[in-house]
Amino acid sequence: VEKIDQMCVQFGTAELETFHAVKRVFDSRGLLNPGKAVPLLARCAEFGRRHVKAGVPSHPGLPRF
Amino acid sequence: LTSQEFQERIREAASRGAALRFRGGGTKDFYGNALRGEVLETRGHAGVVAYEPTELVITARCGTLLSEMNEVLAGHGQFLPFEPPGFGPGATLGGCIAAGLSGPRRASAGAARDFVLGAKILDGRGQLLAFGGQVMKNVAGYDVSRLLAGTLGTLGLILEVSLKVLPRPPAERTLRFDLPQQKALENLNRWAGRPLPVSASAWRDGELRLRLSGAASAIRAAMEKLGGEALPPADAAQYWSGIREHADPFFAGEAPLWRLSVPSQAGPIDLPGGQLLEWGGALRWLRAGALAADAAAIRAAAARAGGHATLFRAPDKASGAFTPLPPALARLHRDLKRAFDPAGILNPGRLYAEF
Repeated sequence: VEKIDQMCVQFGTAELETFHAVKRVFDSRGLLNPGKAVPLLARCAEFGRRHVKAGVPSHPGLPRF
Repeated sequence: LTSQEFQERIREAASRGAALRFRGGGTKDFYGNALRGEVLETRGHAGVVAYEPTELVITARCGTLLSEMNEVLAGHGQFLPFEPPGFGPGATLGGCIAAGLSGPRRASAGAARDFVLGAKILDGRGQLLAFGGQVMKNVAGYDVSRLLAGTLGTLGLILEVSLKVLPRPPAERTLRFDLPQQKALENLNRWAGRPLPVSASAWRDGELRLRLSGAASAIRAAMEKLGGEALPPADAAQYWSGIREHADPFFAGEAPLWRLSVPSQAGPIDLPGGQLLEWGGALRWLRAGALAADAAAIRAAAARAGGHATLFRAPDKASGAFTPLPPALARLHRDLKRAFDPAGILNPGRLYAEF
């Protein structure tokens, strides 16, 4: 569970989509621990967010991966 | 072929809805239901990509010969612990994992699936997907790479696999006992509950053979406890290779070969035809006579024993190679297939006629 944020980086969209597809096979309504083993795409988006103030991202000089 | 070329072939076939079947050495063409679709040869995509003996992991492409893998590993005193059968010199790694078959050591070491650490596949849309990694503790996401073992290419083309390997045991001895089946099963189950270095077992025709693997001193101690008659090492090696590769006389001839997977505690299963037992009683090979009439009876007997029966080798597989699934399981299989291969073009019908 603590690695869940890294999964957005470790896996590409196609792999994540496959995980979701596998989950849908066993849990078509998404009732069982949603977003626990496989991150929801919203979580990936949140994890990748940057602090932006007055239109300028913080520390624009630092390299980002 | 490169992975891009495979990708184009799969995409093109998916767009036409044309069935494809993947073929390495073709040594396991007999396994599963009838083959359908245009052949996509995987042998050209070969070679060991990475091998780290100290990390106990090897990564190789699907077309790599199993014999080459074994040679490379033997060079460092290591091996594939699940002792996969090749069923011919052309057997490839991709076919080995897709078939998911394991050899005599399966009961003590684990199955093919247990040694898969990661895989790169092309799904039925031609998408390149990478799952797992090169260490045991790669726990993020679902274990899709292990799901692939035994799917007979129905979920995707395995391009590359990483497998956990182990050092070869320093010593190995094989013991022979004259025992009827009932007594052999009792002994195997009793021995399984004791700290004995048993690495393989096989019973046929009133004779049980037991292989011990490990440190020389541990084997000596076990031999004193067990008794029996020790075989010359060369004979023993030939015997176990015969069991693994189905070169043993038991497997000769045309009679249909059934594979019954049952709990090892199950007593003798009374069915017409010769039987060979492996894996401490958990695997029972049956040479049955006339086919169609027997299939239902054999499947029922396996189910009563708490397992299932696969029609492994037979000229006629009209009754289906694998035991029909209960509806809820069948739905899971069908939906998984659809998730990986929406067009239904990858080895259709090889596992079950429905997909």
